[in-house]
Amino acid sequence: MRKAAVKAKVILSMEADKETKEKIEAFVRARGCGGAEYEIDPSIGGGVVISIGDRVYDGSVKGRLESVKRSV
Amino acid sequence: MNFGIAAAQLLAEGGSIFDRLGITWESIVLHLFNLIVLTVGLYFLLFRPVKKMIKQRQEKVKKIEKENEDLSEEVRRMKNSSEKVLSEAKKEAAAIHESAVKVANQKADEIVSEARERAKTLIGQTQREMEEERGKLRKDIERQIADVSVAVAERVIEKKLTPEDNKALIEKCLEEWSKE
Repeated sequence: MRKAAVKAKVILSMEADKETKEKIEAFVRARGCGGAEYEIDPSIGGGVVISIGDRVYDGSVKGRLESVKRSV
Repeated sequence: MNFGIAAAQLLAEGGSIFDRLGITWESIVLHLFNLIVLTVGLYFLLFRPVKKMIKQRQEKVKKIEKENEDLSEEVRRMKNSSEKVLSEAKKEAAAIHESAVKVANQKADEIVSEARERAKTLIGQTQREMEEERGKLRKDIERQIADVSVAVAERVIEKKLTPEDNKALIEKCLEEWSKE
């Protein structure tokens, strides 16, 4: 019996179009996920944050600026 | 004058002069005896005690003189001794003073040297602390500048980010992560 794949958690700053969502779905499926659950959070400023298990892909404006701030 | 006249009258009357004066040999012997007794009595009762007393006085005076000389000698000796002691004490005091001055100067030099060393250490420590504090302040200011810059950038990007920009940003991120 095949184990059900975990869904990735995807945070966006605003609603994305169908094409973008398909690319996100393809990305998470390539990493073994069964799909994606979307959440809108304007505080991330833009971009996307994808959580797959313990791994977090942070492509948000807020995350990148935080990274820049840390490097300063 | 009267005695001469009386003697002349007696001679003129004739007889021995002793008879005429009533002087007999018994009276002379008696007087001689009296004189001897008186002399002997005076010798034993007056002359000897007085002589003895004078001798005692002389001995006493000699003794006092001797004591006086001894005392003078003692005083002279003590004076010499005290002068010697005083001289030695002065020398010793001078030596002690010189030694004390030397020790005090040495101590003062040590204190000054120690104070200089301490001041040097303090200055070095203060400079290091100032450098550290300056570094901390610089970092703090840089952090604050970064915070403010990031906050401003966030606001600006939030306002100016269009759906197309957002889409392009997401696609760029996916592309980068896919290469990993």
